[in-house]
Amino acid sequence: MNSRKYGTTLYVASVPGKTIPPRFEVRKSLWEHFKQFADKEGLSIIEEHERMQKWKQRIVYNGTQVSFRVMDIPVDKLYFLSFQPAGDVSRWGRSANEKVATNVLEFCNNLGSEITIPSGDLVFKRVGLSDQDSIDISNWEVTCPHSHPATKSSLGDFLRETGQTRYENIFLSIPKENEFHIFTQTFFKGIEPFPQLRNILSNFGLVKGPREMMTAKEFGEKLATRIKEKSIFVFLEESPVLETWYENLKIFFDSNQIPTQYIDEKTVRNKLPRLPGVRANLLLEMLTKMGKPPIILQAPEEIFINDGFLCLSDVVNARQRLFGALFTYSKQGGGPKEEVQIYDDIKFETPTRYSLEMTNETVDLLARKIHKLIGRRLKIDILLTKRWKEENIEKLIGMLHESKIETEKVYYLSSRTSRFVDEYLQESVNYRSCCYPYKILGKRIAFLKTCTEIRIFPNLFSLYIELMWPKNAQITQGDLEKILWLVKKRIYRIQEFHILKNAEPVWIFRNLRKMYVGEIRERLTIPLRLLI
Amino acid sequence: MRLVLAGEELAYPHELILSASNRYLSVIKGQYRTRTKLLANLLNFVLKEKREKIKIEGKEDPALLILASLTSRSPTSLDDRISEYRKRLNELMEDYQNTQSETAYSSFINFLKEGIFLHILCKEIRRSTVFLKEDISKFADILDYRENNLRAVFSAIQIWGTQKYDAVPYSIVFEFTSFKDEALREAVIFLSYVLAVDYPKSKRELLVSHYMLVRQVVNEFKDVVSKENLADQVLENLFKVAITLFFCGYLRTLRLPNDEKTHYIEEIIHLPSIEYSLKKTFDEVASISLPYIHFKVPLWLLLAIDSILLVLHWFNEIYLPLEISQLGIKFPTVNVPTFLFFAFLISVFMLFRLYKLKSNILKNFRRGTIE
Repeated sequence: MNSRKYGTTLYVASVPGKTIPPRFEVRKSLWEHFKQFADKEGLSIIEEHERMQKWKQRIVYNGTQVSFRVMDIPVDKLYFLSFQPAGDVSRWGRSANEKVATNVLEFCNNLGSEITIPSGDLVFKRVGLSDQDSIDISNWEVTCPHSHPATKSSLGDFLRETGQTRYENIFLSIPKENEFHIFTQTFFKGIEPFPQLRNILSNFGLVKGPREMMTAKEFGEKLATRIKEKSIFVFLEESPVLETWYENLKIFFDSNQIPTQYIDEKTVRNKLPRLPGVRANLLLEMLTKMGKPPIILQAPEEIFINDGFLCLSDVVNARQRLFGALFTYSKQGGGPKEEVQIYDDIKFETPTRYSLEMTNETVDLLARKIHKLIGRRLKIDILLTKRWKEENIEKLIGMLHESKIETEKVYYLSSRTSRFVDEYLQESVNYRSCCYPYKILGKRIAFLKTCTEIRIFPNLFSLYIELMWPKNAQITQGDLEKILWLVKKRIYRIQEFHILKNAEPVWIFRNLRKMYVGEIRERLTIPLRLLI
Repeated sequence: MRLVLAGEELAYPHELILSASNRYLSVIKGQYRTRTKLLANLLNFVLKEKREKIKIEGKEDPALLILASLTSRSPTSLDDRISEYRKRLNELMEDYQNTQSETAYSSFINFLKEGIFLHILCKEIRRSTVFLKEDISKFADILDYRENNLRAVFSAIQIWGTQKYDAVPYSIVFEFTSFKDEALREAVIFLSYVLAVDYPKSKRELLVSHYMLVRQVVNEFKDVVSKENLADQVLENLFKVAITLFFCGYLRTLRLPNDEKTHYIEEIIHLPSIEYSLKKTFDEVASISLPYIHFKVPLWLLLAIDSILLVLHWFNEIYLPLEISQLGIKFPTVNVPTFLFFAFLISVFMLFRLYKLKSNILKNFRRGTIE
């Protein structure tokens, strides 16, 4: 069978000499090349000073601003050049995103499949995706552990049934013994949209309240454990109030083991009654937070020889500078509890937006904390949300080994590195499919296209995955399957299944950055399910 | 495949065994976890002595390796696997002792509970044991207050096959009667059965626990066995229960010659079950249900009411009209046949229940449960 090829806006060059030319030189050389090309094609360019030592250099093609990024990979002696659309991206919907992606692809078609620049004698060659290099997850299993009896089906069949029944199969798999405690400061009894929300939730358990939002903390503190286990606090308000509430108080409820859900009143008015997908998302997320996930995506067991993943990330925002460790199991029924710990005594530096450094003493302290978090001998993979110094990684792995925690591989994940667009979704058969193409470049780098649907700007791009450790290992399809499972594990966002892009642990740390954790003594432990 | 016998689905434990066995091919050839496939293979092996070679993913899990070795042709491999299991268990115990963490404790306990089923399998199929005497006493020191069920199971394992005492220690009987831990259910079904054979003095109490659990599993799987696309966890439980029931003889006895079967019923099932059924029938012979009201009337109370009504009728016949004026009670003539009528109704009801008693007991014998 012939394999279909899909063009991308990514170019790769191998460095011919022993020394790698500096990035600014390569960028300068490339910009000269593009300016000549723009002159020849009659395209306009944008060149202005953006911020400190940063230049905005763009070419306008068919009304779309095309920006480019250059990245060097010294280990593999590679240079990446990627083109992406630029502009007021947050306003773009599906059709606008599709249009700009097509324009950038067309721009690259005109630019040619090879770009030669004098700096370092680099020849950039255009990269393509192919059907052959893709991961088909349609036969992964979805289990419904709370239906009677617990059943399973293949992901492909499950998604088909979900579409055909308009999410009815999901509503049927939701356990009904729940208590929804509603808190608000505006929408009390009789005031819409509270009655709408009550009507929807009452099909899945008891709806209690609404109570004054200000009393939620006291109410939560007094709640008996027996009730707490089957309860969730639902906050119904306008978006700005919810945001403040989320930022300042979510951590209080999480650390008291009370699941919370924040619902914008506009969502209840405009979406919940009309769109079953939004209803399914809401209910699945709430039940998962309560520890009763109605659906679980199981990856084939041959992928997972290890016990789980440890994700390490900084938790930095304007109000705090903390560090977090998260442990998640990869095997079915792998372990008792999945937890996130946040530390305030792990000191680190972030020399760039994408890198992180620690002293040896801090790595030592972190290793001891991880040993306490995991608490027993296991074989794990480590995920990093920032690029770490090699010595730091080596030291951490050595320390964990002493505590009998064996590390198999260390990956660095990024959704912003070398962003490029591709033609994969221009084929209608690939739209919303369960086949995810990838491209392995060099020994340790891969791009994995985790979205097979476009709604917002980030859906256009692939996920950057770099194997950081062991040094002599090569990244394989198996590694990418593991990461893809971590991404699609968020199946509780069922309506957004095809646009899920980031791995769950990375997503959780991103959420944590939106919260104000406040003062913590040594560490704060939160069950992972509450932070999804 | 759905089995229907005597007009009832899954009326007997042996149907559960056969029904689980019928899933063998679909599990072995389908997309299921290695553990599920190994348990299906093991059931097929104990039932028909047929085995399939299953590829083991995650070769580091000693529990999976033991399951695989039980059906393997090489008897030596099992001992190696058992030593690996013990090594891993000791490592988990060390982890807990070093860290004192809840996670380490849970991992240790879960692994230990898995080992109990493996111990029963190894002993029944290959006469090997997973736990040694010294292991058990070592673990007993670590178990916390929540693990009384597990303690009782360990004590039962220690006395299984030894006939050390006249009767089974009361702590075991007590824990088995009020047993709650789902992870140990198969072990308790099996141990209560074998100890009842080993210790005749405790037979009655142990078999009550045994039948209670058998009834529970049969009820649990009644609606399950006919369903497709069962989750791996459900299938694994089904296979484990089916293997356990097979070990308890629920399939073999049906194949016995008639005199052997009678002997089996008399020796193992008959007496305690009859006693229990009769006691229950006499205690709760009548069940009266009205909307919002549900209560049961014991037989002795019905007899007492019947006698009172007959006495009242006799009084009315002699001293008509009956008047106890001091108490202000008067029975007019029209009520006289009422006493007789109600007495007659209750007598008919009691006769009906006694008539049904025989068929109820027989039905419960066939099901392997007691009502």
